[in-house]
Amino acid sequence: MTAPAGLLAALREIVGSERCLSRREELLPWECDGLTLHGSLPSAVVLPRDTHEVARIVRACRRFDTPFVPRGAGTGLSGGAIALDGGVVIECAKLDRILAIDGANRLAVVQPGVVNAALSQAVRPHGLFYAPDPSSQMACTIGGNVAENAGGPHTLKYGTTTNHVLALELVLPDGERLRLGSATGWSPGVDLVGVVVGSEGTVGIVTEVTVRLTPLPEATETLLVLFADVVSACRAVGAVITSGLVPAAMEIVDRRTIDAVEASVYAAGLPRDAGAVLLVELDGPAEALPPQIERIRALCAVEGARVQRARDDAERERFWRARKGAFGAMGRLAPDLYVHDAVVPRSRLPEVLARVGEICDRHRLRLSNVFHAGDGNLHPNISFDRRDADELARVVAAGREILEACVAVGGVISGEHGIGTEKRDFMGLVFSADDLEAQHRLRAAFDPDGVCNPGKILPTPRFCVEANPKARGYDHVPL
Amino acid sequence: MRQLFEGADPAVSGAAAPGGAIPEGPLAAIYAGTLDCVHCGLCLSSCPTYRETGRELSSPRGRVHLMRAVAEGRIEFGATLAEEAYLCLGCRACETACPSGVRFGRLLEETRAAVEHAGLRRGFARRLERFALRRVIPNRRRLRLAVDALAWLQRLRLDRAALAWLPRRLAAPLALAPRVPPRAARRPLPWRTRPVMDLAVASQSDVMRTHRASVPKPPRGRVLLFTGCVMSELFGDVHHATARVLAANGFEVVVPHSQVCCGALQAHAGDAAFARELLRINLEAFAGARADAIVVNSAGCGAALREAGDWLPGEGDALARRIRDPLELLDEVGLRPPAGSMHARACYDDPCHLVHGQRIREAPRRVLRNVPGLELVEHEDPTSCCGAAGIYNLTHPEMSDAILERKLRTLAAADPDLILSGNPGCLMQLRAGSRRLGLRAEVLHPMTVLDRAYRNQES
Amino acid sequence: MPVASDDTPAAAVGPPPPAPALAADAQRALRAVAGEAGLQEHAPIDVDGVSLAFTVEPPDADAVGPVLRVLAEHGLPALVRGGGSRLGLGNPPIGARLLLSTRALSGITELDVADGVLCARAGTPLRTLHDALEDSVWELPLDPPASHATLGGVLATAAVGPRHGGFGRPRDIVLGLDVTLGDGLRARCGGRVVKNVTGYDLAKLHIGGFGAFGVLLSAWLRLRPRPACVRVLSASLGDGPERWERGLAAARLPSARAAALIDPALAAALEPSRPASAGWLLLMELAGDEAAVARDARLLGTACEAAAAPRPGTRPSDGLVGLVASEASPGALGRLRALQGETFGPVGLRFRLAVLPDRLGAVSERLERAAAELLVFPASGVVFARVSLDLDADLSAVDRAWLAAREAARAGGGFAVLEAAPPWAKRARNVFGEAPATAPLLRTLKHRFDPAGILNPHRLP
Repeated sequence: MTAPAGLLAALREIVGSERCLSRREELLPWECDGLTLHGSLPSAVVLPRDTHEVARIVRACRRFDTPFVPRGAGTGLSGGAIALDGGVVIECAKLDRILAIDGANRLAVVQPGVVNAALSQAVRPHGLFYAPDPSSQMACTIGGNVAENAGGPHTLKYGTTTNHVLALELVLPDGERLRLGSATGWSPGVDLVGVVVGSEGTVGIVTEVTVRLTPLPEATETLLVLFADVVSACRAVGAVITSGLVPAAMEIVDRRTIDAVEASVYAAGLPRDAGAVLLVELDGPAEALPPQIERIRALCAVEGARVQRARDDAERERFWRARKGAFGAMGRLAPDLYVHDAVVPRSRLPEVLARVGEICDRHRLRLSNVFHAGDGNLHPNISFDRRDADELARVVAAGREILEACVAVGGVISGEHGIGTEKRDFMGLVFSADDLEAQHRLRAAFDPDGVCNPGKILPTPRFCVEANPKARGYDHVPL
Repeated sequence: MRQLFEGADPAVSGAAAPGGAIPEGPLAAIYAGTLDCVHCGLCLSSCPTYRETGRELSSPRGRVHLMRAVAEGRIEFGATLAEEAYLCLGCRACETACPSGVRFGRLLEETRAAVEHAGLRRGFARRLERFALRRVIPNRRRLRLAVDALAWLQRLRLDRAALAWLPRRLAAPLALAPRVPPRAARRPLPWRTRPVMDLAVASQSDVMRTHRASVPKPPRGRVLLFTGCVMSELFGDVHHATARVLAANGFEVVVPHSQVCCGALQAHAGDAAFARELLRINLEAFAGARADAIVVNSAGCGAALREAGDWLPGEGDALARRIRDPLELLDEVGLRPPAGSMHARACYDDPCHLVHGQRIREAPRRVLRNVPGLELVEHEDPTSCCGAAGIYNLTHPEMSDAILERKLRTLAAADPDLILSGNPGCLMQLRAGSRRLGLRAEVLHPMTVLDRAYRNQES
Repeated sequence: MPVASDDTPAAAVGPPPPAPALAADAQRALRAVAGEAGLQEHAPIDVDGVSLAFTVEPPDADAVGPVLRVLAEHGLPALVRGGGSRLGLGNPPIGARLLLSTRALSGITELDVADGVLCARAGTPLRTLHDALEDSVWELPLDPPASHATLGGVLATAAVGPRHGGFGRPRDIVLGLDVTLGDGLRARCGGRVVKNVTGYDLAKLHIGGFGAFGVLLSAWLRLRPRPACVRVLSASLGDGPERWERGLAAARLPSARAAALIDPALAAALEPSRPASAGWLLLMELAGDEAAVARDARLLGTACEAAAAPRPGTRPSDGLVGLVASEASPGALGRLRALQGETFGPVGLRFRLAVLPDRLGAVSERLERAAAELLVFPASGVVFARVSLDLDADLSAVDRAWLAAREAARAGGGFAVLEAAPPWAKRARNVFGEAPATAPLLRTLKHRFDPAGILNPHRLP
């Protein structure tokens, strides 16, 4: 679908022709994000450099009745940053200035295109960091994190993005600018910031974010615990959590993942002989850590595990880089990777993982697991080749079964990647039609005409899940 | 919405098995290489052109996406990819960031070769570039004449005058050109430099004398020095310094005289055939001499020679295995710490083709930390490109300047006395930039600093 | 005789307004859906000058929808009531015709000890929840004043207690909600797992939404591990300007679960034996591992620890130098919690401010000029300010204090909310200050979720 000529002219008037792309071969790189399974070509890509331009772009799109979608680095894994229905991509990567750092009050004001890791680096001299640390933090943007309510390994102790956003500036779908929340983190009335975080760019375009910064811990210890298999590692995680310890992170990496990472530039010397490795990070006052390490050692010994300690900060950083590079490293196994994301009550992890393994075996798929065990947040990764239609069909079928298995034990279908296009038609697994109607009302209050990132989160037409159960899955009607 | 690529193209529709039907077309040869990318995007923030433009199109992931789309026949091989292939600096920072091991530098070279083959790049500038890369740079006599001419211009201060009235594209090379060193510094290296006896036994005042003294058996081995093209003419002093430092560390240094330009610039410009010719000559030049390593003090040449196997599998691989950066070699064998010192605050800025192309990051820092008096300070983002990228600063001056400015800002913040970088392109670029921005730092090759430290012990 | 709700003083001046009657057909319809006992007529209850003589009490969650539909049909706006401890918050519910009690929606439906999560009905008193967890490894991270407050009421008003430094905000602990919207639609959001981005985060709309968008039925909550060690300490901070820096440094110690700075007058109420000349009081609760608590206590210069020389290698915060803390008197934290929810007499005002921590000095100076008594939580920047008015005070006296509070808040980079005031003052002023820029959006949301406008009318800005 091509953009109306008038719209292109209007967009070029706002940002100049350099920052407005419209030819098919130029647009192609924006046809998908981190999820290669779904794609859709935008009708134009426009790159604003300030809030004012964003507002004008939105108004231009409205004038020409064209939907639009904000995009950061496009590292999302649920198709949230692709433009459906011939929409315009508003690429926010160049809204990349850190506007203020207030060390005394532990906050920073940033534009949405600031890269997550760059923010932490910039505030380090103040003894602070930005706590949410999705694995893509080297590349992903704060704006994208806000849209997806991104998590990461350290959310176990520090919480997800929503716990760290104090205030926002939003360009509403009608082009008006609105400030929400307060730099104090409290809200005089309704918590609209909390409503916008995680709304996947469907209620407006965030153009400024005030974030809470966290003091760097006084001391950090990273343990590498070697288990015979993933299930015993999960049991140990449960034992640690119910003992009252709150590690900063608890991550499980299975054998196949270790092999892939160790073959990559992120090789960290992870042990190749363990069935699964549990990465435990503890932080806090130096005095408090040794007793915690001893408790964890004892709890893991019950499962017959061996505990190693990172020797120094350099080794600790290597471990984490390896953990965070794991997804990309799967590219060594096959041309494509489907990173699943689901959450189950932590105590149900062992049975769910066994079930996921069984599903993938049955569909003859290559499964690897690397996930946030402390939160019960699974990431079953399936390596495949999208050119193999049969394999693709098996990937899709297994994906659905995995989600059903998670929901069956009280879980949900996304813990941090979002719904996007990927899972919108699975929302019916978790929510009733009435639940979804309530969500639709929220969206409609912000965007009554459905122009802001349409086709995401909620099944369309609204109740197609009920009306036509066969419409679930990936076999949608093509555009 | 649709599933990506499904039925979009005859080459991939149907039940093509993984790695099965390989498409035909301009980029068919690199199709398999593009499949390594799983679209995770970790490369984006490492890419200078993405950081400058914010365009997925101008990112490594976007470029691989386009290459794959062309190979699959989803889009025509046309101007967009051709422009992007040349807008890319080829710094390969994305390779260091890539967990799935996409060999981007390789994909880029092949794409550029295909661009040239398809005639997608034309015009006077391209013809001039090709002439320079084929006829001048690899030809020692012509290169020397050209540098002589430059030296005269500089001496008569005509270069400054020319800057004022020349159009920007033509003025840029003049502005970038370093001051041509005096003839004496451009004198070729002796074919052999003898090793210095172990410093532990040589008294301080003996050093320079033992430099020439004959030692019956090389204590640490013999190395061959690769001298390249521009390096010899414009940075001959670095070669002399390299030879002296290696000698001081117990190496016999031999310079094979039939060697030629490494071909990197030509290959980066899409002229793979010519690069292959040069490589054949070099294979012969280095085949005869028995030596433990071939030392390459220019990061760009080193990276190219280490990947000689891509151009000539077999023979090339054998050559590649012998290539060493001098700092890497000194780190391996252990630097004999200079008795003299070099009191300065220094920033080491990684040449892309050393840190990304050859994956050498810590060795130079370890070696430099052993220089008495030298305070090594880290500046922000030392591993990002300075914008030189071979002849990129001539072909894409605006982008190059923007990238250079970002680099200089981070360097200025660290306020060093010295900026160290082991690649001629980077040295030229950083010198020109420092001059323009009025930075006080001296821009040097690390071997020059080591050499000064060894020589300082005499005085 | 009007019965005052707990935190709201009865109007001392003027006769109570007459309580509105309920038409017979509406009563019949309500009894049909809520049961015979589900509709009670009682002595009028006064909420900020709105007198209410009927209470409808749905017997279970399923009955809430039908009740709301009856209310919508008959155009009867209702004020939702849990424990009644926070009915005085928000703007007066002008137009409300009856109370909707959640008292029957009570009890814990699931306590998952393995995962540290709990699901309880909205009408469950907090005390019940705390009691249920008494012997568990988990604790409920909610401690607002008034333990008879219900879970629903606490969430609807986003109420916090002194421990919010360690516990966080209510929004941070709610995993999922079951809600009936104004038009009777029953909608769940979130879930029982601790990490969840499945769909819109609707819970945020209801937490602190003053019941304007729906009636809370039940909530899934994330529990916290019960700390192994808890110590309550106090110290005198004097009257000098350094008290802010010291107080903030103390409140930011890693194990500080509660940390309040209390002005001399209020401190006297908290620790009666304490002389007013001792200046500001710092009251702290440390909680966590034995080692972490001991370390922070040492940094606070507690008498028992100070005897031992400070261990080399510890990192005393500069701001703490010179501080000498000692064990506080038993029950001090409970008294602090009670103090937070109190107002002086029938014509007292209470403001809640949220400001940036490094501006507390400037904020408190402005508030003290307006004769306010202050209770300050430095780490979070939350300030409770009470102003006592004369019995014959008029609106201009209220406006003076209100203006001072708003100016102080502005100087602090935050905002002020009027939490308690005489009804005549609250009816005349917006307790949230000037109409915020978000007002149109809030109205749209209200319309979408409560199209007939029958839930907690007029509460929001």
